[in-house]
Amino acid sequence: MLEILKAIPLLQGFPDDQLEYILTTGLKRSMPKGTFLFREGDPAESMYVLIEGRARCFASDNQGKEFVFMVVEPGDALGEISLIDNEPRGWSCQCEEDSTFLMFSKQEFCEAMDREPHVKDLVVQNLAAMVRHLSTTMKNLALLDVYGRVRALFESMLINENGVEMVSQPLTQQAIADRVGSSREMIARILKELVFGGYIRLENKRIIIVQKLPERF
Amino acid sequence: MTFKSVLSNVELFASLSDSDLHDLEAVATPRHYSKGMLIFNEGEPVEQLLVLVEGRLRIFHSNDAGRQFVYGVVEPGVSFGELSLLCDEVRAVCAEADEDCVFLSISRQSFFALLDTHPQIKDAMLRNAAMIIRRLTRAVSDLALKDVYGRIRNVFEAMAVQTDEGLLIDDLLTQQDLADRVGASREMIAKVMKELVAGGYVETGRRRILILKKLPEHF
Repeated sequence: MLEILKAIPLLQGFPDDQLEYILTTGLKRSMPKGTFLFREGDPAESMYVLIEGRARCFASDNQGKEFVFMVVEPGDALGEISLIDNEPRGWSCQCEEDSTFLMFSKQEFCEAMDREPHVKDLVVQNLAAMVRHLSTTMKNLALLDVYGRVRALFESMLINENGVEMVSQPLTQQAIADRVGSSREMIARILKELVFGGYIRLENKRIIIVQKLPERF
Repeated sequence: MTFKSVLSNVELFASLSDSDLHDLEAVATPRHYSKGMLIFNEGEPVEQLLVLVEGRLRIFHSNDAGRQFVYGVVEPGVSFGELSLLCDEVRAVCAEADEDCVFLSISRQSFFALLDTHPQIKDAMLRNAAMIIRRLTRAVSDLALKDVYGRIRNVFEAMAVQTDEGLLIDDLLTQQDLADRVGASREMIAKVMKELVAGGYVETGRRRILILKKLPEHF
């Protein structure tokens, strides 16, 4: 278990005793794909650290349209905001894959922050990163068109595998639409044009970037 | 009004004693910006904590084409830059003086010295950050899930003040201002406003908007 924690990039640099502490204090919870960790409006009693899998944070309207504004990767903390301001959950969080979390009660979270200034600094840094991420998301939504947002999404998820540039995860058209705040139809049109123009290739549900995406559509 | 009384109303410094506030005021430098001046720019390094003590400013994003998205208008008592200072990051947004502004500027060094002697300030930073995150989440959700009309309705509901005449927005908002606030084009705003007037929902006057009846859920 300790080895799993050590392999998480975000937890590298943590001394062994702190990782041990996280392991012994946190309650291990495994959840199958699709499980809600919490829903918008729920009262909050705990926070989580994702150690395996992936989860998505999203807001939805009363017609069921979703906007995914954050994807949680191993090593990320989530759910701490409500423990800081004592307000209900501001959004929903759902497992996108089978996932394992360590769960900490509000009391454990507060005690750890009080006892270890290092932990509090980490929480501040985590929130600062969230502010920054949301601020960029807001800017893109307000000032870029749908194509510009698709391009920004692809560029933020770019990996290089054996010299081939691709988007790091398989994404359905609906998943892309939910991430950029658009309709599936619009995404279908954009992807079709990008394939036609020789910019991308779709292979085994993966999006391969063949050449640099154009500035404008 | 002394600077100290403004500092005591800043969330970040709410836990400081009178004499601490006095010391803080002593190391803070007043800075004046005239209406229309850029206070900071997205991407700039952050060298000081700024506290708005007088005036009003606009927080916005802009793109290369000169389009703006105004995220909010800020009144005195709000601090800027504490998260960026602590995490050594650049400004995430732009700010411009909407009126003549006076700030107290606290250097990076003074801020870190204060954090050392008053670690409880970090708790206020956490609360502040949580509030900003909730607000930003609502803003991004509205942009992604609501149409332009829904966002105009949001702005109207946030700005309207109950007066003898009814609900009134008396903030000298031009259609371009409104477009910059909701992230849409001026033409789109003009179209929505025309429909609202025709439907008897609002009455527009010299840069003021009177809301005559509850705005419809959908356009």
